[in-house]
Amino acid sequence: MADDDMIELKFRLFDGTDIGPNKFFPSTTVGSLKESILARWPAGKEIAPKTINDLKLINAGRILENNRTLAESRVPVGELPGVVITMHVVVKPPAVDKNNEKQLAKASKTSSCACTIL
Amino acid sequence: MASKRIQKELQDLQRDPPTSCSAGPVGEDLFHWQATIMGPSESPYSGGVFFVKIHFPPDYPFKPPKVNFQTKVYHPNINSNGSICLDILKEQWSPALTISKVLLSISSLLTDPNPDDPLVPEIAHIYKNQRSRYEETARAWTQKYAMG
Repeated sequence: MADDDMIELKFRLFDGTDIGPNKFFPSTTVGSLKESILARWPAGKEIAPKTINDLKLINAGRILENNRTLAESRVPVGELPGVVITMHVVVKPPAVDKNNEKQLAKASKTSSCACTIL
Repeated sequence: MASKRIQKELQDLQRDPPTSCSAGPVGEDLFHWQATIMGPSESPYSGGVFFVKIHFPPDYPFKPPKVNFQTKVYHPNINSNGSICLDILKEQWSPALTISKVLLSISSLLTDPNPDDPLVPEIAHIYKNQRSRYEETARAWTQKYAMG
Protein backbone atom coordinates (compact mmCIF):
# COMPACT_ATOMS: atom_id res chain seq x y z
CA MET A 1 0.00 0.00 0.00
CA ALA A 2 2.38 2.67 -1.19
CA ASP A 3 1.32 6.17 -0.34
CA ASP A 4 1.96 7.48 -3.83
CA ASP A 5 -0.69 5.16 -5.26
CA MET A 6 -3.25 7.31 -3.52
CA ILE A 7 -5.27 9.89 -5.38
CA GLU A 8 -5.70 13.30 -3.88
CA LEU A 9 -9.20 14.72 -4.29
CA LYS A 10 -11.01 17.92 -3.53
CA PHE A 11 -14.81 18.19 -3.62
CA ARG A 12 -16.26 21.44 -4.86
CA LEU A 13 -19.74 22.36 -3.66
CA PHE A 14 -22.43 24.39 -5.45
CA ASP A 15 -21.39 27.60 -3.70
CA GLY A 16 -17.70 27.23 -4.50
CA THR A 17 -16.52 25.94 -1.12
CA ASP A 18 -14.25 22.92 -1.13
CA ILE A 19 -14.06 19.82 1.04
CA GLY A 20 -10.55 18.42 1.22
CA PRO A 21 -8.08 17.79 -0.29
CA ASN A 22 -7.83 14.26 1.04
CA LYS A 23 -6.08 11.16 -0.22
CA PHE A 24 -7.97 8.07 -1.31
CA PHE A 25 -6.95 4.64 -2.55
CA PRO A 26 -7.81 3.96 -6.20
CA SER A 27 -9.94 1.04 -4.97
CA THR A 28 -12.26 3.38 -3.03
CA THR A 29 -15.80 3.24 -4.42
CA VAL A 30 -17.69 6.35 -5.42
CA GLY A 31 -20.27 5.37 -2.79
CA SER A 32 -17.70 5.55 -0.02
CA LEU A 33 -16.35 8.84 -1.39
CA LYS A 34 -19.88 10.16 -0.94
CA GLU A 35 -19.95 8.80 2.64
CA SER A 36 -16.81 10.74 3.39
CA ILE A 37 -18.30 13.88 1.83
CA LEU A 38 -21.39 13.50 4.06
CA ALA A 39 -19.20 13.03 7.12
CA ARG A 40 -17.28 16.21 6.35
CA TRP A 41 -20.16 18.35 5.11
CA PRO A 42 -19.50 21.92 6.30
CA ALA A 43 -21.75 23.11 9.10
CA GLY A 44 -24.10 26.03 8.52
CA LYS A 45 -24.84 25.31 4.85
CA GLU A 46 -28.32 26.04 3.59
CA ILE A 47 -28.57 22.58 2.05
CA ALA A 48 -27.60 19.53 4.09
CA PRO A 49 -27.78 16.16 2.31
CA LYS A 50 -28.81 13.23 4.51
CA THR A 51 -27.85 10.16 2.53
CA ILE A 52 -25.44 9.39 -0.29
CA ASN A 53 -28.46 9.18 -2.59
CA ASP A 54 -28.91 12.92 -2.17
CA LEU A 55 -25.51 13.48 -3.74
CA LYS A 56 -24.25 13.47 -7.30
CA LEU A 57 -20.53 13.34 -7.80
CA ILE A 58 -19.29 14.74 -11.11
CA ASN A 59 -15.85 14.50 -12.65
CA ALA A 60 -14.76 15.40 -16.17
CA GLY A 61 -18.31 16.04 -17.30
CA ARG A 62 -19.81 12.77 -16.13
CA ILE A 63 -21.86 11.65 -13.15
CA LEU A 64 -19.95 8.95 -11.27
CA GLU A 65 -21.70 5.72 -10.30
CA ASN A 66 -21.76 4.58 -6.67
CA ASN A 67 -20.57 1.04 -7.32
CA ARG A 68 -17.56 2.06 -9.43
CA THR A 69 -14.13 2.55 -7.92
CA LEU A 70 -12.07 5.68 -8.21
CA ALA A 71 -9.67 3.87 -10.54
CA GLU A 72 -12.54 2.96 -12.87
CA SER A 73 -14.01 6.46 -12.80
CA ARG A 74 -10.89 8.39 -13.68
CA VAL A 75 -10.29 10.27 -16.88
CA PRO A 76 -8.34 7.93 -19.19
CA VAL A 77 -6.03 10.57 -20.62
CA GLY A 78 -4.22 13.70 -19.64
CA GLU A 79 -3.53 13.23 -15.96
CA LEU A 80 -0.50 14.56 -14.20
CA PRO A 81 0.76 12.57 -11.26
CA GLY A 82 0.66 14.38 -7.97
CA VAL A 83 -2.03 16.84 -9.02
CA VAL A 84 -5.09 17.27 -6.82
CA ILE A 85 -8.25 16.45 -8.78
CA THR A 86 -11.33 18.54 -8.10
CA MET A 87 -14.73 16.86 -8.37
CA HIS A 88 -18.12 18.55 -8.23
CA VAL A 89 -20.78 17.73 -5.69
CA VAL A 90 -24.41 18.37 -6.60
CA VAL A 91 -27.17 17.96 -4.03
CA LYS A 92 -30.38 16.63 -5.51
CA PRO A 93 -33.24 19.01 -4.84
CA PRO A 94 -35.68 17.50 -2.33
CA ALA A 95 -39.15 16.30 -3.25
CA VAL A 96 -38.76 15.92 -6.97
CA ASP A 97 -41.40 13.29 -7.49
CA LYS A 98 -44.41 12.49 -9.60
CA ASN A 99 -46.54 15.04 -7.73
CA ASN A 100 -44.55 17.80 -9.27
CA GLU A 101 -45.71 16.94 -12.74
CA LYS A 102 -49.30 17.23 -11.61
CA GLN A 103 -48.56 20.52 -9.92
CA LEU A 104 -46.83 21.76 -13.03
CA ALA A 105 -49.71 20.69 -15.22
CA LYS A 106 -52.01 22.59 -12.91
CA ALA A 107 -49.70 25.57 -12.86
CA SER A 108 -49.62 25.87 -16.62
CA LYS A 109 -53.42 25.90 -16.77
CA THR A 110 -53.78 28.62 -14.17
CA SER A 111 -50.85 30.76 -15.19
CA SER A 112 -51.97 33.83 -13.30
CA CYS A 113 -49.30 33.36 -10.66
CA ALA A 114 -45.76 32.38 -11.50
CA CYS A 115 -44.51 31.99 -7.96
CA THR A 116 -43.38 28.48 -7.22
CA ILE A 117 -42.07 27.66 -3.81
CA LEU A 118 -38.86 25.71 -4.22
CA MET B 1 -0.30 21.81 -31.24
CA ALA B 2 -4.04 21.26 -30.75
CA SER B 3 -3.65 18.20 -28.57
CA LYS B 4 -1.06 19.89 -26.38
CA ARG B 5 -3.37 22.82 -25.82
CA ILE B 6 -6.38 20.54 -25.12
CA GLN B 7 -4.27 18.50 -22.68
CA LYS B 8 -3.38 21.70 -20.85
CA GLU B 9 -7.02 22.77 -20.63
CA LEU B 10 -7.94 19.34 -19.31
CA GLN B 11 -5.32 19.54 -16.56
CA ASP B 12 -6.51 23.01 -15.57
CA LEU B 13 -10.11 21.78 -15.44
CA GLN B 14 -9.20 18.73 -13.35
CA ARG B 15 -7.26 20.84 -10.91
CA ASP B 16 -9.39 23.93 -10.54
CA PRO B 17 -12.68 23.86 -12.48
CA PRO B 18 -15.32 26.60 -12.32
CA THR B 19 -17.96 25.92 -9.65
CA SER B 20 -20.71 25.50 -12.22
CA CYS B 21 -19.13 23.22 -14.81
CA SER B 22 -17.09 20.10 -15.31
CA ALA B 23 -15.58 18.70 -18.53
CA GLY B 24 -13.28 15.97 -19.83
CA PRO B 25 -12.71 13.51 -22.65
CA VAL B 26 -15.33 10.80 -23.28
CA GLY B 27 -12.74 8.10 -23.95
CA GLU B 28 -9.21 7.95 -25.30
CA ASP B 29 -9.95 10.58 -27.95
CA LEU B 30 -8.74 13.92 -26.65
CA PHE B 31 -10.79 15.81 -29.27
CA HIS B 32 -14.15 14.50 -28.10
CA TRP B 33 -15.34 15.70 -24.69
CA GLN B 34 -18.42 15.73 -22.55
CA ALA B 35 -19.28 18.40 -20.03
CA THR B 36 -21.87 19.15 -17.38
CA ILE B 37 -23.27 22.57 -16.61
CA MET B 38 -25.07 23.03 -13.31
CA GLY B 39 -28.17 25.18 -13.77
CA PRO B 40 -27.49 28.66 -12.31
CA SER B 41 -29.28 29.17 -9.00
CA GLU B 42 -30.83 32.48 -10.06
CA SER B 43 -32.46 30.93 -13.14
CA PRO B 44 -35.35 28.54 -13.83
CA TYR B 45 -32.67 25.92 -14.66
CA SER B 46 -31.59 25.80 -11.02
CA GLY B 47 -31.08 22.30 -9.64
CA GLY B 48 -30.59 20.77 -13.08
CA VAL B 49 -27.45 19.14 -14.43
CA PHE B 50 -27.15 19.67 -18.19
CA PHE B 51 -25.00 17.46 -20.39
CA VAL B 52 -23.07 19.00 -23.23
CA LYS B 53 -20.93 17.44 -25.99
CA ILE B 54 -17.79 19.15 -27.21
CA HIS B 55 -15.86 18.46 -30.42
CA PHE B 56 -12.52 20.13 -30.95
CA PRO B 57 -11.52 20.81 -34.57
CA PRO B 58 -8.03 19.63 -35.63
CA ASP B 59 -6.91 23.28 -35.84
CA TYR B 60 -8.11 24.21 -32.34
CA PRO B 61 -7.69 26.86 -30.85
CA PHE B 62 -7.68 28.73 -34.17
CA LYS B 63 -11.18 27.43 -34.88
CA PRO B 64 -13.90 27.28 -32.22
CA PRO B 65 -15.01 23.99 -30.65
CA LYS B 66 -18.43 22.59 -31.57
CA VAL B 67 -20.64 22.56 -28.51
CA ASN B 68 -24.10 20.94 -28.27
CA PHE B 69 -26.55 20.32 -25.47
CA GLN B 70 -27.42 16.65 -24.95
CA THR B 71 -30.07 17.46 -22.37
CA LYS B 72 -33.32 19.05 -23.54
CA VAL B 73 -33.44 22.74 -22.55
CA TYR B 74 -36.27 25.24 -22.92
CA HIS B 75 -34.36 28.37 -23.94
CA PRO B 76 -34.64 31.00 -26.71
CA ASN B 77 -31.04 30.42 -27.84
CA ILE B 78 -30.91 26.60 -27.65
CA ASN B 79 -32.93 24.52 -30.12
CA SER B 80 -34.31 20.98 -29.98
CA ASN B 81 -31.11 19.58 -31.55
CA GLY B 82 -29.11 21.09 -28.71
CA SER B 83 -27.51 23.71 -30.97
CA ILE B 84 -26.49 26.86 -29.15
CA CYS B 85 -26.65 30.36 -30.59
CA LEU B 86 -23.68 32.06 -28.99
CA ASP B 87 -21.39 34.57 -30.72
CA ILE B 88 -18.14 33.26 -29.23
CA LEU B 89 -18.83 29.84 -30.77
CA LYS B 90 -18.96 31.51 -34.18
CA GLU B 91 -17.62 34.82 -35.43
CA GLN B 92 -16.56 36.09 -32.00
CA TRP B 93 -14.33 33.09 -31.27
CA SER B 94 -10.79 33.93 -30.21
CA PRO B 95 -7.87 31.52 -29.62
CA ALA B 96 -7.51 33.17 -26.21
CA LEU B 97 -10.82 31.59 -25.14
CA THR B 98 -10.88 28.21 -23.42
CA ILE B 99 -13.50 25.51 -22.89
CA SER B 100 -13.82 26.71 -19.34
CA LYS B 101 -14.72 30.21 -20.57
CA VAL B 102 -17.09 28.81 -23.19
CA LEU B 103 -18.95 26.78 -20.55
CA LEU B 104 -19.15 29.81 -18.26
CA SER B 105 -20.58 31.86 -21.14
CA ILE B 106 -23.20 29.18 -21.74
CA SER B 107 -24.00 29.27 -18.05
CA SER B 108 -24.50 33.07 -18.28
CA LEU B 109 -26.69 32.54 -21.32
CA LEU B 110 -28.91 30.28 -19.21
CA THR B 111 -29.32 33.10 -16.68
CA ASP B 112 -29.68 35.84 -19.30
CA PRO B 113 -31.18 34.66 -22.57
CA ASN B 114 -30.71 36.81 -25.65
CA PRO B 115 -34.23 36.98 -27.16
CA ASP B 116 -33.16 39.49 -29.83
CA ASP B 117 -31.00 36.90 -31.56
CA PRO B 118 -33.12 33.82 -31.05
CA LEU B 119 -32.64 30.30 -32.33
CA VAL B 120 -36.18 29.38 -31.31
CA PRO B 121 -38.37 32.42 -32.13
CA GLU B 122 -41.46 31.01 -30.33
CA ILE B 123 -39.60 30.72 -27.03
CA ALA B 124 -38.06 34.17 -27.54
CA HIS B 125 -41.55 35.58 -28.07
CA ILE B 126 -42.85 33.98 -24.87
CA TYR B 127 -39.75 35.12 -23.00
CA LYS B 128 -40.37 38.71 -24.09
CA ASN B 129 -44.13 38.83 -23.60
CA GLN B 130 -45.05 36.25 -20.98
CA ARG B 131 -42.02 35.96 -18.76
CA SER B 132 -43.76 33.91 -16.06
CA ARG B 133 -44.95 31.36 -18.62
CA TYR B 134 -41.41 31.03 -19.95
CA GLU B 135 -40.06 30.50 -16.42
CA GLU B 136 -42.67 27.87 -15.61
CA THR B 137 -41.94 25.88 -18.73
CA ALA B 138 -38.17 26.18 -18.34
CA ARG B 139 -38.49 24.98 -14.74
CA ALA B 140 -40.76 22.09 -15.75
CA TRP B 141 -38.31 20.95 -18.46
CA THR B 142 -35.42 21.21 -16.01
CA GLN B 143 -37.26 18.93 -13.56
CA LYS B 144 -38.24 16.51 -16.27
CA TYR B 145 -34.98 16.24 -18.23
CA ALA B 146 -32.13 17.54 -16.06
CA MET B 147 -32.70 16.11 -12.59
CA GLY B 148 -32.47 12.37 -13.23
